[in-house]
Amino acid sequence: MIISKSRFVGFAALALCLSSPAVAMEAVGRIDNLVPAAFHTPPGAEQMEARHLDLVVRDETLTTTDAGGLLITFADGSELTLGPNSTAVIDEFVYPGPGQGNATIELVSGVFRFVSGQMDEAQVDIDTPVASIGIRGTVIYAAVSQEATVQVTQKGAAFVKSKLTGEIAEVEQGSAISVNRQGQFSAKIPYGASVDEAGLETPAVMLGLVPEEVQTFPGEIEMLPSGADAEAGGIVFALAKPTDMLIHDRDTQRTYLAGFLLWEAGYQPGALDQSSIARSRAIGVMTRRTGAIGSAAPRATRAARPRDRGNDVIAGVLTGGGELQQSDWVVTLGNASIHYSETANYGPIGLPEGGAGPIIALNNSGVPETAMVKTFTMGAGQRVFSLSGFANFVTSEFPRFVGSQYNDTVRVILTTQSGQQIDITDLFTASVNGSNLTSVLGVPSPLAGQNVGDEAGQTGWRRFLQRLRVAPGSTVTIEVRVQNVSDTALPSTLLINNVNGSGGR
Amino acid sequence: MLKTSAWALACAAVLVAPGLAQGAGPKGEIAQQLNYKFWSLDGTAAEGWQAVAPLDLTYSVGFSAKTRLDFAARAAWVVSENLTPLDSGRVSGFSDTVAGVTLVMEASPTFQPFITLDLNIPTGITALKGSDKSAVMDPDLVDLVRFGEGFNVNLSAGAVFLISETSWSVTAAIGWNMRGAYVADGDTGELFDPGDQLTALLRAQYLSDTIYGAVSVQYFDEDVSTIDGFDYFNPGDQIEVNAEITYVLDEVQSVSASVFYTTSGRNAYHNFFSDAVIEENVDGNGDYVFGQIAYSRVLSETVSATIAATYGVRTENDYVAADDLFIPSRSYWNIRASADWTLPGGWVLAGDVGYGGVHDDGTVLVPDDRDYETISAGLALSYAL
Repeated sequence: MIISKSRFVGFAALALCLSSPAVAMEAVGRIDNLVPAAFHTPPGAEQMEARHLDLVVRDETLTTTDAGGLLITFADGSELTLGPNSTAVIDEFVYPGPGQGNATIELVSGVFRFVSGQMDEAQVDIDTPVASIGIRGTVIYAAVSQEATVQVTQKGAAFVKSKLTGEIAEVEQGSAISVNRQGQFSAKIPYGASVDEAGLETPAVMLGLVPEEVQTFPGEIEMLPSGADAEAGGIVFALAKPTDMLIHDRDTQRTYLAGFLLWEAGYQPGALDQSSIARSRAIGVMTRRTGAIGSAAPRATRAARPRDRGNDVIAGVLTGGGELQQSDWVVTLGNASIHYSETANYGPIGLPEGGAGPIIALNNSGVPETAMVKTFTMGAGQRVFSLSGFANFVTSEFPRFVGSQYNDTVRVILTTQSGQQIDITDLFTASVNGSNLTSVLGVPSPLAGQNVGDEAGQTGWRRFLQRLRVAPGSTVTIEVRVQNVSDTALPSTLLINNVNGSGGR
Repeated sequence: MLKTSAWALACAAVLVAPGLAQGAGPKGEIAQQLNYKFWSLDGTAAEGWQAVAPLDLTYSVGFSAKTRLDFAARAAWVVSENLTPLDSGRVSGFSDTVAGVTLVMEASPTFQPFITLDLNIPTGITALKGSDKSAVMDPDLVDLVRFGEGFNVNLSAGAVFLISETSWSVTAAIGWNMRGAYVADGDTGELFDPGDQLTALLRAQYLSDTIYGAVSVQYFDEDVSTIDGFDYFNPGDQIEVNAEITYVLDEVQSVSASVFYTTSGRNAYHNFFSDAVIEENVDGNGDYVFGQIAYSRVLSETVSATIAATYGVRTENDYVAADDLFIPSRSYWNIRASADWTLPGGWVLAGDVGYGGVHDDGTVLVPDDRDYETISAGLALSYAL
């Protein structure tokens, strides 16, 4: 059972702050929880839809529909919960301070739960059409109609007094009793009593089940329908949950559930009850990866679990960090003045779409092979190396020697400091025989003059992208090799543009 | 007797589930946060900061006492700036918006299924260019490492099985997150299509008047992601084990502890020679062990406070230290104090401050250990609807 009192101490003062002057003097409680549709009718006013934190005043009528529920917290911390199809009137409520005051609450019809507060309990009267209920440190339930009242004491004790005969019955903790309009009391039924044991004739057969037994209750449990109440002849009293009540209809042999759980004071979905905690935690896990902003822990749990690392971050797709420290291109094999050039255009070949800067060309004119390198240095916190750029293989072996042994080839090799070496030649499909070359006329020297019209073959600009997981602080070297295969007569060239390296975390 | 005040505080500080689908109150809540984090690398000029201002809305609509819809949405404004010389960059703007709805059915006292649908709506900044990419900072130093991604649809379902009404329950759930493609790197314009994600959960929970405890096992699997249509990356399957316990000392005090352990299978990367995604030779992911202890106390009718200490270790991975794929051990710690102040009219003002550190072991190529300092502060104002 969940009882919260301390949070409502001083509630009266709060009510005064929140209310209009005229209403504030009469405010005795507030609506702390509800399930639509529920209504309240202050004296002399129209019925209005209940809203969370609405104030409740003396002589106010509270009503719920067949789907509704209301939880009223009074100034002394006591709580009145209305189940479906219920009506109550706050006839009197005066609370000067702990142990003082008096209250009269009229339960007209429906199902109710009342938790006593700090008021002198002897001064709290709960009236029904056929009985008055006095409380002693109590959590009680009541199912009320014009014909009968069934009262269940979950905690403490209660006294049920027939209005017709004046007879009083004490209802101890864990038991229930009913009284009808004729003043007839049922026997007190303790928790655990079976239907057969109850064997009562008036006004209703009570269904006695302890909470644990409800779990295995063989009958069908339905939500309380419209119009079902004590008058239907059924009644009570097992508690399906700490706050829910079963109502058994003897005539139809159906058992209904009057749920109070959602309206419990202090009840917080996902916090205080078993199923809600479990569900909330599960949903948290299931939805954690929906999106980045969703994965950020809520304020209350900002440090309560390790951060999710998005797998795109692990993969280095989001390569944070700008350009790395890098060297210029250095010709390591060949003569830079002959084999290396930087130009805005390579004859008729201009920049690729998305390209930038000069077109860098390395040719192998007159030698078996040329090579050049560029070195990138990773930052201390960077472990993903990202390389991008454009390449175009141009060869004067085309078109005459395609398919021959003169299979000039370019290779691009990435080497990390730890010794990993990746040949990414395939990115360019870059060889005379292995590539799909197209004709280009008017190429410059040294490819010029090899064919009619200074014709050559080219792969066309191709973009290359490469990511490598590398060691922070290490270097990554990109090496370009242009090979003359079987001869040194007809040169080839690899064009490079806009080569960038960046480091990701 | 359940110690409600201490429970409420404990729940707020520890038990509240991460994620959006939780109900923040009987009907709903709107909350504006402002979270700030600053980090610096000891002995260097490297530093950065991030401010994230999420606006959260939760709202529950009850169809009956046993069936309801929980709506939740979060949108945020983010400013993220790396002030490190030669690596500086700044991003500011809206992040993505996450919105979801959960159907909760209390079908019976012992069986309570739920279905949840969450969307990541790409209102944020996805493609980063040039130095802006430097604003993507270490996930252990800032809250957000992405400011926008694709349109994601996360559908999951589960059920709570109450073994006994007030003590034991078991929860099982499974979900599928269908993630849309987006351009992450504005310089390359590559279309990154993250793989869909499978999440499964099995969880046992105990709840009594004074003790809350839970043990859960989560399994995460992810499809191969692609870049411009080519298979690129497939992270190893991940298993996360979480144990947590909260003990209510009395009406106003509670203590809690939680432990996370996360381990992963081998990742797989695209291999250019075979043009296929090849699994790593060994596990390239370190394991994570993470623990937290917290103490919460109700200070007055309206004020409560929590102090929490966390410590975590990411173990070095299985590669040798000289390998490019080696990741050294990392440890992190944090001390955080927070307080909630309940104001009249359904308002709650909350604040927190934290101080912590992240320690990276040195490597062959970066011999010196690296120590980061982190400072965090947050404010939140919420209103119960």
